[in-house]
Amino acid sequence: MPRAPSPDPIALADQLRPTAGSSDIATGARLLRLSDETDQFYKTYPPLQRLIAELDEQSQSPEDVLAAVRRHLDGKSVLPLIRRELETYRQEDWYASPALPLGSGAMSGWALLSHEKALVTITVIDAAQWQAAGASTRTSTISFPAGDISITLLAGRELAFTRWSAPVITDDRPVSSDQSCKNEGSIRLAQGQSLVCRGGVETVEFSDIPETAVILQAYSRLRRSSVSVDYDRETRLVARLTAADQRINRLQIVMTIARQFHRRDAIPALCALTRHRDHYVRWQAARELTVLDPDGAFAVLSDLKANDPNPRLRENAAKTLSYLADRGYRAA
Amino acid sequence: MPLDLTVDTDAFMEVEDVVAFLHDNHIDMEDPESLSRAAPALKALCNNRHFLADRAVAELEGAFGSDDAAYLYTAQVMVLHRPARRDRFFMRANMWPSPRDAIMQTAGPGAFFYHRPHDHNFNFLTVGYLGPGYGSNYYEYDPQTVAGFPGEVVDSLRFVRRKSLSQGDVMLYRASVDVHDQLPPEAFSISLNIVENTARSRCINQYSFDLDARSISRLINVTPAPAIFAAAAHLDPEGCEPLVSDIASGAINPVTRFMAHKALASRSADPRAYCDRMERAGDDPARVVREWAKAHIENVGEGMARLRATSD
Repeated sequence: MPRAPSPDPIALADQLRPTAGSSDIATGARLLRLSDETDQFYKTYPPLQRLIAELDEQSQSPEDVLAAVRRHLDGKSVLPLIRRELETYRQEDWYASPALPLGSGAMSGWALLSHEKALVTITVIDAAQWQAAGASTRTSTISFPAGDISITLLAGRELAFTRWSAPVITDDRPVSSDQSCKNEGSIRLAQGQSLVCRGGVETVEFSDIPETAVILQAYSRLRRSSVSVDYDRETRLVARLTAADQRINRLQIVMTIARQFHRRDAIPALCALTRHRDHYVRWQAARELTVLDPDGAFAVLSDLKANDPNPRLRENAAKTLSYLADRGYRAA
Repeated sequence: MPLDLTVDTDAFMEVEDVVAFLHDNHIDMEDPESLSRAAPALKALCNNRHFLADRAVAELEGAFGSDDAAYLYTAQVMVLHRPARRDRFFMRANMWPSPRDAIMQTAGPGAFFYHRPHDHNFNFLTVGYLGPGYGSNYYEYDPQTVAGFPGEVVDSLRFVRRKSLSQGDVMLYRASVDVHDQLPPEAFSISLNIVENTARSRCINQYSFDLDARSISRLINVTPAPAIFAAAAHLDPEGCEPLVSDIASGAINPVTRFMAHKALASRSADPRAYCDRMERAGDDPARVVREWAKAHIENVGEGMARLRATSD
């Protein structure tokens, strides 16, 4: 039975418009309460709770993480959650789901779960819009995320992908200027099927979407690479490296703040970060340390020069040590 | 452009003092004049040169040895005060890296909203806390003349001036009036904000603009609604399509109605049938829905014509 529109929608809308003065506090409180209730519903939703328990207690590898997601979530198990959202939109004026939205244009989605080991999303690709956009949907680069990804087609006839591969980037094998990615042909995915791409070395791009598709996508935060890599579509050479995730960006930001405010009490933490798993975090920590405490940085830089697994970082540490020595700094 | 507020004070505040000031003085976040009365408090927080670094050092100490350190919001933003029940504001510190900073080199400029002209769907008061500050080309528009769909030409959009938010500068950005095209600062900079967090911000759209075309390029305040509606209609057509239809005809928020129409149209694999279904949105009482549907149909139609031409 269709619900009749609110008898006076314009009046309510005007209450909430920027030019109409203060909005109704009761409406605001109701919207906040609805958001909290939806949040709580996601947190206590049994399939998600079971998935979280498995991720917390058992999943130790990227393969475990993605397998756990596929075991606990499918088109059937997510449906009650989606219906609940839909009912709330239908019944509650101005409701907006607090779930994290994703995508733009032909692709839209939202996060079902953001866990320290996995990000799980549902994505919808509007086939007509995607086809209409044609070549404009193609970016100038091919992206290889740092973590493993699984894609499961929940609804839609099938999806076609172009597969790409690239060499692994590690401390032992840092990126080089002639490093390139390779086209590995195409692959099709039927409804109910999944595919997995290993982080840093495999990726896929949509090549044909004959029918609007609903996809369950999982990203393993137990990443294999320290960087996400974009390759140029024309030359296939490395175009850009970016930090593997925002947590790393955040570390970079707080290190910079500590240096900007000359906080010597950050020195022990910066020393510890010179042993971080990602080479660019180790190097930034060493640089900030050198500014804050040039004499004290000698020991850390010497250790990096001798023992860091990344050859470029060893080289940079050596250069910095001679730079400091030239300017009269001595080991503390 | 945002209102320049001249504040001259040596007072010193902690974040908690500013929160108390906002409560005690009944600052109305929706009223720019009322919000401007909080400028001295924000400037007093700016005079406090240790509170932010204290938080940064604490975060660093909690992070070393682990790459799973929890962070809130995004890497660029430090939330200083989370809204408690019935609070109509929150506070944050925004970091603005320069091209010389490591973070900019590893995350790229796109992560920091530079060169992406936009307005805000909330009022906020801001102060430059550190550095030369991000620059902005400032524009204004009249929200009363805008329906709010991507591609809409905004005749009232006009350039006002360029300015940087230097340390100590206090400015008040007005919701749905002030537009800025942000430029990276010359050196790492930080701004502090008191941000409106009211019900209306959930209902007003925030836009990015195409300054050359003087038009709205897209809505920034994306919601999960389009994906939820479409996923429902595709995963459970019998059970969910009627609910999505109800939303398309009865939701009070016009953007929600548009998204529901689009989800229903996406059930058709054939673009012609897709456009036919989308045309029903042409009867909607709100101009934004009618115009957006029209533009969407044109885009899909033009795209299909291009595809046909290519395949011929």
